[in-house]
Amino acid sequence: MRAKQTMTNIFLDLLFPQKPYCLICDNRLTEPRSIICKNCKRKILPLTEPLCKKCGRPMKNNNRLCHDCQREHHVFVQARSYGLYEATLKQLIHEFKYRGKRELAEILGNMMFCVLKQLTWPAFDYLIPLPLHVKRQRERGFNQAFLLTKVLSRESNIPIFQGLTRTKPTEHQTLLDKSFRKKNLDGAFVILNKNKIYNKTVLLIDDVYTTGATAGECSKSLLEAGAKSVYVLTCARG
Amino acid sequence: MYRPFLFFASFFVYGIVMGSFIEIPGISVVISIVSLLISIITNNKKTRMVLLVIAIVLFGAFYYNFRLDKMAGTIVDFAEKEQTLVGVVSDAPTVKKDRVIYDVKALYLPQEEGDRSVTGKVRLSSLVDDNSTIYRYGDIIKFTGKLKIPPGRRNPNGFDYRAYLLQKGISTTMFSREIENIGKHKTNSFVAAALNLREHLTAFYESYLPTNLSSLMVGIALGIKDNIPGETMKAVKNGGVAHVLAVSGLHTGIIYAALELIFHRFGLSGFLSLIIGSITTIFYSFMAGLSPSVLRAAIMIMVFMLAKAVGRENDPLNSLCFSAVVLLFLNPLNLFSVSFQLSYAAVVGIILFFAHFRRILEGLPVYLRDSLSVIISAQLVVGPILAYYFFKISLIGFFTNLLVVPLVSLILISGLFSGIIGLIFIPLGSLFVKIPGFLLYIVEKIILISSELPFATIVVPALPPISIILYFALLAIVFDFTPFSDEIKSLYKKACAVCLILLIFFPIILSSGGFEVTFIDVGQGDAILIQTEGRKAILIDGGGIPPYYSGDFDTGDDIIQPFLYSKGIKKIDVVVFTHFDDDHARGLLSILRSMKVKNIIYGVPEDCNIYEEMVEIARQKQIKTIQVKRGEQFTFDNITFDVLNPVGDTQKNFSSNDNSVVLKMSYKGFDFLFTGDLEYEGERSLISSGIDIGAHVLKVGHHGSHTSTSREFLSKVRPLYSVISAGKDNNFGHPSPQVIELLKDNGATILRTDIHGAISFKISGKDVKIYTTIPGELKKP
Repeated sequence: MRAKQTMTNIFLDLLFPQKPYCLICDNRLTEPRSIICKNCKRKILPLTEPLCKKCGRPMKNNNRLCHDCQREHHVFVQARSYGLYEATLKQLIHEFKYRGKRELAEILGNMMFCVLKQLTWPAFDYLIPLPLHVKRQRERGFNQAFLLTKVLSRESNIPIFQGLTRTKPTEHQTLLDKSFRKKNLDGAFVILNKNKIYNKTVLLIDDVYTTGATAGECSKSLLEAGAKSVYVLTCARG
Repeated sequence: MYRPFLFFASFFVYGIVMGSFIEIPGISVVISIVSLLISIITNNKKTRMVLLVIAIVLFGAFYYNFRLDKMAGTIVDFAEKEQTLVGVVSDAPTVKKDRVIYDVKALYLPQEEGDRSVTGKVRLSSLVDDNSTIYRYGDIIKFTGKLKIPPGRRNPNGFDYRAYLLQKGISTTMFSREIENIGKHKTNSFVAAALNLREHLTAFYESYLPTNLSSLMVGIALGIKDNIPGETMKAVKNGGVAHVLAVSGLHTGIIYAALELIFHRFGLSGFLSLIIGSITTIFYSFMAGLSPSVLRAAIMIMVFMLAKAVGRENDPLNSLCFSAVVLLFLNPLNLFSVSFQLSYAAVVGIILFFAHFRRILEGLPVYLRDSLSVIISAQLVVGPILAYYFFKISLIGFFTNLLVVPLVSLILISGLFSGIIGLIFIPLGSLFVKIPGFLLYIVEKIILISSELPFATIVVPALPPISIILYFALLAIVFDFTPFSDEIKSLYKKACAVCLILLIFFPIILSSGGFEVTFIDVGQGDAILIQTEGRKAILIDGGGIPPYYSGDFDTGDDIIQPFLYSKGIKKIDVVVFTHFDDDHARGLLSILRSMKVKNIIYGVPEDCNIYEEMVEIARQKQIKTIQVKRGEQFTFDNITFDVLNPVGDTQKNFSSNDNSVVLKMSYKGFDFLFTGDLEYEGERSLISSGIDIGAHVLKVGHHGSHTSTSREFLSKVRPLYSVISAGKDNNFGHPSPQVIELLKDNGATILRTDIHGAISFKISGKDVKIYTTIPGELKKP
């Protein structure tokens, strides 16, 4: 089985060779399979304190909560992200999600793992990728959150829970107004194998955190299904 | 070179080319494997590269020779004799008017002492009428006839039929009147289904579209060009849109898009759609006859689907090279097929230059910008190859393609759709087929009109291969595909661009100078081209085949015109009809129709079609016709032509052969005597006239027939060289052994088009050089 897999991989590498040029700046790469060069990688800065205690939004001063979180309560305990959804990071996620560069999961997932290591969060029982609706997943061919979760799970040795599913083919969140986003999501998530997450501490994984509406709705469903507490980790935040 | 298949394909191709020049001994495989093994264990990167290159090149060279032997098969050992053969029909037959052509995989020679099994393929042709059965893929048939090795190249830059057939795996040909079905071979049902669907589609189009449109529809949908009328085909080529008749990326792309739509609707998973998509593509490739272009496109689209399924990024150049490697493994002779070369050239051009031209044409509307970029970038690479093979480049193509390609896409979609509907429910299909029918009508009109416009095409004389290599080298430099540093690049880039432009225009200005006389090999018949130092062209006769015999082959269009173009000749100053027999004059008619001709010279009018057609064409195209008789003289540059025959009204009772126009041409003291079909009676009249008929080169009268070339006549002419223009294996027994003996006795070197192919005399100063297309021993007198 192992040998077969390597053979397939060698064949695929021959047929679809990795470009030896940086995805971002087009300079020649020095390390094999690095996709982006060191220079560009260095430019993707992690978020630093002060951050909103709830959603992780960068703040000017040490306020406990940001504007949004003061007005609106999210049911998850805390949300954190690696960086801001702009410049290079935005470009990478774009290539990853919309142009099908799945191998970017490695880079993005590892950045998320760095964040996870530094946080003083409780030990998690499960990592849960934020699901896509079947139809959307078919269109794209993959679920970006799942690919990220796979990398994180490998690095952190936390198992993945795959029972969270999306039943409503919701509109693209990015196209909707804030107020509509929540409505759009009502009852969009269903959990299978509920007993598995009963009384468990879980970490929800996604690529981008914007208003927290999706993550909030998901957390709600998970808590209703019996999870003890839900945390959220994303690669980037808007 | 980070693309593994670009690396492999480049050196593999190099190896195949090498193998085609020198026979590589079997030991090379061992060397190849050893260097491959060392390259795997070595740590030095440079050493590994060098060893890999050696391994690939040697393997390519070996593989070419290995497959070449296998492909010809053992059947060639039995050629040039009457044979009875049993074989299996290996492809869908081609029916053209009263002829049918089968490609037959030979099985055995039935013999009394037991069957002798043979390998190899035969192209078998036969006559059919409405009552004859046409055999199909998988039928085992028995047939008898003369097994022949197809003719190779017989004229300079001419068509090499032997190589062309061998590229398709066919090494021999046969004409057989009687074909007998003796059984059914087990067939691949997948292939049989594809050929079956192809037959049904063809029949459907033929019954519900007008003939001229249905042949185009079949060409567009399935790449079958056999039934497209010659005139339309010529217009398609001159219009620069011949590529739409080759099933290629356009087709597989449209099928892929249609499948995607269906898969999406039914929500099929990635891998399932990959498998179904691949099977459909392969099926369609079989329907389209597995031409190199459809195989290329099929492989590339499957790789594209695979990339999507496994989430990798498709690299078009690497995929293209991968498909090339597959095609060359299937058949290394593909490399030398024109269809393979054109298909890859077009795609290479688009992959490499499309982005450049899109940037250059920034300001144009999107559709125009993208289409033009595709056309220009493909043409940049295809152009020299077209010029090399066909001596002609379509200029109007830049414009025609803009209109035709989108229409053809629509025709293809609506045509395939209505065809498939028509197979299920004929009335509905026959209604839908009106849509592609209407579009085809428009396309045909566009092509016919645009190809007639002035400057639709330009003639490019035969390019020496070195100039093509130079062209691509310069192209690579100008478009930055060289591994040099930027400083060096900026230094020479402008100079190279100038050279490139010069190189493009150079061959158009240049055409070969110097005095040259060529006896063109037109099969049975005469055709002689005289080129003067001042680049004037005189054509004496133009071969030809009687119309009931020719199928759609035309000596003028298919042999003489390409030959003239390869010499850079666009207009002919004088066309001489020695007389009006088919094998001298019919080929000239198509030359008169399709080329610029200034003057026609003829001797005695005849009461026959060809003469009447000549007069009619001359009237329409306002060509001056001049009737000549003995005693007249005309000159071109420093060449004099003396008319020695006919005598005019005094020999009215002579046969048409004896009334042939006989010309004595003198160039700087070197004399040629062109005798047409002159026979004894005419010869006697010449001798008795007392005119000096002595010449250095004699075109032997009437193809060396025993009714010409009397001993007395020969003793007066005293030629150093005698040229016999006769067809290989002709039905008349030309030339006669008597005449050959006589010529030998007179000490003349005999040159024969049936043996040597085309024969040219190049004269400069006192120096006479003789070139024959088929190399042979020449005895110098």
